[in-house]
Amino acid sequence: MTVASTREIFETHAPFVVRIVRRLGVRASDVEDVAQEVFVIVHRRRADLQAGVSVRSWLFGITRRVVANYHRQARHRHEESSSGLDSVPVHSDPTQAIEGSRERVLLDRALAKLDTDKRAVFVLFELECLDMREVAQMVGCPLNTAYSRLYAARTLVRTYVLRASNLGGRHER
Amino acid sequence: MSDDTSRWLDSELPDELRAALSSMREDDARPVQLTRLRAGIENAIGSAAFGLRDASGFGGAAEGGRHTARESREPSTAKLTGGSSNATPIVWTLGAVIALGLAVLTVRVAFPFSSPALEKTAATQQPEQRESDESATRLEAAASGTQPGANPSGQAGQELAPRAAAPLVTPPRAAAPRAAQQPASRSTAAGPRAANAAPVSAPTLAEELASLDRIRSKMATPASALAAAAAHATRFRNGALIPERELLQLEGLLRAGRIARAQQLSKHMSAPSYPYRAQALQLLANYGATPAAR
Repeated sequence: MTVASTREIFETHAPFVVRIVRRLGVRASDVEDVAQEVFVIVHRRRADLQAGVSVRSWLFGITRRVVANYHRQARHRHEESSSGLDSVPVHSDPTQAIEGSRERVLLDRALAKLDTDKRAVFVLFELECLDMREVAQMVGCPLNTAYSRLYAARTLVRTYVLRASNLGGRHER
Repeated sequence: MSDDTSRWLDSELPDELRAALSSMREDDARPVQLTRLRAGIENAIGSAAFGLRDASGFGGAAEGGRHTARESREPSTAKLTGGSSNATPIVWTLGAVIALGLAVLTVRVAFPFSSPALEKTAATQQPEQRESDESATRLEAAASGTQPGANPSGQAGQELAPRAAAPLVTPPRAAAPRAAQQPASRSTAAGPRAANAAPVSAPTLAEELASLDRIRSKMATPASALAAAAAHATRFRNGALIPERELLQLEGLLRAGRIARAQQLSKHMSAPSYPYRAQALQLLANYGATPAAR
């Protein structure tokens, strides 16, 4: 079987990988490094990609592991462990903080409060607009579990955003 | 539960949440970001491998790349010259020129009464300085009471003269000024080569140290650290700091969760004679691993 080149995979799926990396809580300044790491692994393992398996699912699996590793390492880094910034990923980039609306910042924070499983389901379904069956397959859980995670994530996000909004910006950390 | 759950955005939502969700959904990767990412990946795995359809062609860059995306974003010699592979000859040439300059300077400072052969060599390499060099030779000759072109330091000069000057220790007196005007002869050409040999080794060690520092600094992202270690292994195949690099490589593998590969690597590191045996075993123990059987 001819294996797709890394270039072909990149051309088709790079925006997806970058979005997922960002939405799974990687700091804006580290997004490109983490995405690059994903594609280096893709390059190394693309022969493992089996026929019939969705490239996007396979990519998501790799991306998720790399991001999890990033968070694990980030917790050990002095500057992050001392300030707790790893839990507030996106708006830690000044440019993005300026560009982003206050609501957007709140949503970022709400997502950062979700555990990785709920966050993955929320991101794939609500932001990537994937079919729920595909989401369940990508996350590697039964369909009903995926739904449960989605509803739980929605509740948490709504509660956090509304409470923070009602506090007039004096949102909790 | 059915599979027709509508998106949250399509349902009744408070305005704040709707705006935020909508904004986040539309937030896509920027083209410039993708361009930088692509450049970083190409640097990491090589342009040829990037477009290769057959996975079997994947070789030395398997441990990752030589550069992180951040490095590819930053202006560097490699970027300015169109890539690291193109930059290498330029860097080496620059290094050689600097080393040559340093060598000539060192010889001139260390042997102020060196033989005219060295004056001749320097004059040949730097024609624009010929006049001043000849004046200096004449002044030295006047000070020591010898003819220009003669060896003013006599026997002592022969003992002190570096190996490069050896063939020119006893040149014909009359030949010296003429030789200075001729293109580099076989003997004068040997000068720079021999002079090059010594100073080049020092920057190499410094480069190797810098390379190790790069590996260490990337340890937060193990794949990048491993990539840097692979680059180090390629560049400093016979380096002086291989055990240090192996220790960092071991740490990178363990951090990346590649325990089996780490155990494989540590096989020879557990030998009693290995300089970092204790550290390697400690690292493995931290991750609940032991070296592979030897």
